[in-house]
Amino acid sequence: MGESDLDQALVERVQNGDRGAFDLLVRKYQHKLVSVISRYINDWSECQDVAQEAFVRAYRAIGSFRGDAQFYTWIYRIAINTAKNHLVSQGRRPPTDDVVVEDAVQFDGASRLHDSATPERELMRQEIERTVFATVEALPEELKVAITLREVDGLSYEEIAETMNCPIGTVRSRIFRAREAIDEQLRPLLSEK
Amino acid sequence: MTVRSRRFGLFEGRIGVRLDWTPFSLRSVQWVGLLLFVFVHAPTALAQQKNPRQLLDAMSKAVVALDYAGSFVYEHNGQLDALRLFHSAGSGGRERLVSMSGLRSEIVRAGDSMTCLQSGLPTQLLQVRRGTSLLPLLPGSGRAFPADYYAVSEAGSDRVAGYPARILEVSARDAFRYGYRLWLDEESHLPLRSAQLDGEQRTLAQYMFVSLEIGGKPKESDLTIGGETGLAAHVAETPLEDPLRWEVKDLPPGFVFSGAQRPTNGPSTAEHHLYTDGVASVSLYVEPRDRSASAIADRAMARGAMHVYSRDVDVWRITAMGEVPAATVERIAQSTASRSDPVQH
Amino acid sequence: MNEHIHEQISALMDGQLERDETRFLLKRLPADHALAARWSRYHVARQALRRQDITATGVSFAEGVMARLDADQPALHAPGVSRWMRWSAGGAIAASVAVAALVVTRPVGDVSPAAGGASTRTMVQQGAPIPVATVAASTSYPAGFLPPLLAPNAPVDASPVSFGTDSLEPLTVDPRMQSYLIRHYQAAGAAGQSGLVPYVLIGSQQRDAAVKPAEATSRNR
Repeated sequence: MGESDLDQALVERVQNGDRGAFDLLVRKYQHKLVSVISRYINDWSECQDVAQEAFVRAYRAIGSFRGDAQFYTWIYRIAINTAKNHLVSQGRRPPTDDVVVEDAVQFDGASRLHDSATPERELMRQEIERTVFATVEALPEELKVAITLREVDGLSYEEIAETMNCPIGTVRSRIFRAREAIDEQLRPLLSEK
Repeated sequence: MTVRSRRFGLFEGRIGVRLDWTPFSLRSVQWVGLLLFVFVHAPTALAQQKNPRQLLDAMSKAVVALDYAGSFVYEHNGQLDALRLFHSAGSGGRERLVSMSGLRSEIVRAGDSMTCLQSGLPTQLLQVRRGTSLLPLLPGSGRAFPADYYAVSEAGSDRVAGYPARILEVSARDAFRYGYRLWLDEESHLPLRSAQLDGEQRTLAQYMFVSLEIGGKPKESDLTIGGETGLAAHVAETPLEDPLRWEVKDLPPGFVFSGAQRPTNGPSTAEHHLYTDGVASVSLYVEPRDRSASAIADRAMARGAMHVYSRDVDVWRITAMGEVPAATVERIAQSTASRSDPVQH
Repeated sequence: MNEHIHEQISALMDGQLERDETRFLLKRLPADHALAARWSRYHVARQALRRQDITATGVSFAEGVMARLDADQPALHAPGVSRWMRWSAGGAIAASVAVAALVVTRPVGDVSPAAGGASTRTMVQQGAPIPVATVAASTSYPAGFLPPLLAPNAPVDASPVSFGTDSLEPLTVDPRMQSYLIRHYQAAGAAGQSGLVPYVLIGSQQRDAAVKPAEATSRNR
């Protein structure tokens, strides 16, 4: 089971009435989705509000989500529509050209569109990124390699085990320890403002 | 506005000029164009012989890829309108259509966002497909016309808005769809005139440019909405897919299923299917009917080329609509039935 | 013990957790605030490492979503608004607007429906149409509601007329039909090239009817 299979499994649980599974999907994607919506809506609390609305819409529509699309792609489109609708309902005009945004969902991994981010949010993002990369840089070599192969290169545990010449259980543990180390540094940044 | 574009239209290779000289005003472009004409001596074989289907392809491309501005008359549903169109190519395209007669109305499209402004009504924003043209009655590219159902042929030449035009005849081979007659500019292949025809060659609707400038980038002010854009409302549905509950058992020949959508906030059992023969499209809507009202008998409705057929089956209302003959929507609505067991497809 | 669960979370997000453990964890995670928050932060780290766009959103965000779902549920079953209205409106709408059935208006001077091949089909006599000539600039629509595309701008003769060559019942554009039409043209745009234009343009058809002086003198460029 890979990452996207996990999303699919979560969606199926939601479709069968498990709201906790939806909670996990929200927590997984909220940071990205709020960021998407912030391209349209600058005001922070308004942006969060619209993002929540997008999730609510997704929940209502989840019965018709099928596994042949990525969950993120699907919810991404809902988010954009929600943001545009919101702007229009406020009598404001949404940005007229979505070329880059459309591309962003295609090439999700490389999406870096900060054109409309406010300085504080951009600083925050940079702070998170700097913290994460600095922590990884300071990790013991085997943790650093494991987490990089996993998150940056997207290898499976099996492939990492092969590359690093160690058992899968070790890979799992190394990745976990790397995540814990990062998390320790991240926690203060992400605590409720 | 005086139209000197016909002279400009003689200039070969103007498409390249358009791309290179976009910052200039139309007038400068003409000057530069004439100068280039003098110095470059572009070959005059630009309009090589294309077969009718290639011409349709070229038309589709020209509509999207060229800059142009012009005025046309549009006859539809027994009325005549005068409209002005500005089109700017590039990055999804931008265009603006303004009514010159009757009540004020205008449409601005930028990429996939379309803003419609009508006097006395809230502005509306709609999402459309990229490459959608604001020109009416454009039937699509040559590849779209399945040869079994449409015949495409040349039907002589004419002159429209001062441009020599080649006439293309796209005729339907049966009674389930409409045909078109198109007048294409010989050089740019822009559709100078188009008419939608029924089986007896009667014109259902048509437009014709009375003036057209090709190759000059419209001014920014010509591409932005000219009125107040205060109140606004919007439709945007997320297309969703699902195992379908309904199917059309007896589609008219040539029509195939091309997709289904479901409204994000609508009844979870509602379905919107689209069927197309590559040119004409029919929408099929099935949804639970309002149970407080009694079931309606079958009804067939028409407005110009648009036909609608609606019927109630049990607790469902089935509606088929499209710019196709009445028989097509009727057959689709009549043969819509629930799949005994929903099948993934 | 906690460490063990944290490692399971880590494996879960990589899709590398055993089936039984997954089932257990998926039950436990949402119920435990600290664990759910960790799950969320692990994903922030992932998204940062992948250089994706992220925003720091706190735990209250997801709680807010779940609270809305709780608050929202009953609204879906609110009586009085028929289901198709929700479809056409895309959200909550004022029920009063639902009454606004529109009719296509007759341009002065065009009185005779064109003759054509008579259809043998049984026509249904439509009920008395409700003209909405009162729709004016001051009308406000609830958020998300699509105003009628075809609304007359001024009081006009509201008797329907057929422009078509068939002697069919003229198309009455009520909100439901309007919703259908718009969706049809949006969807059909993918097949042909012309989008919504034909129906947007219909709005200009009342030019022959009584036009308010202010509008009559206004000029488009």
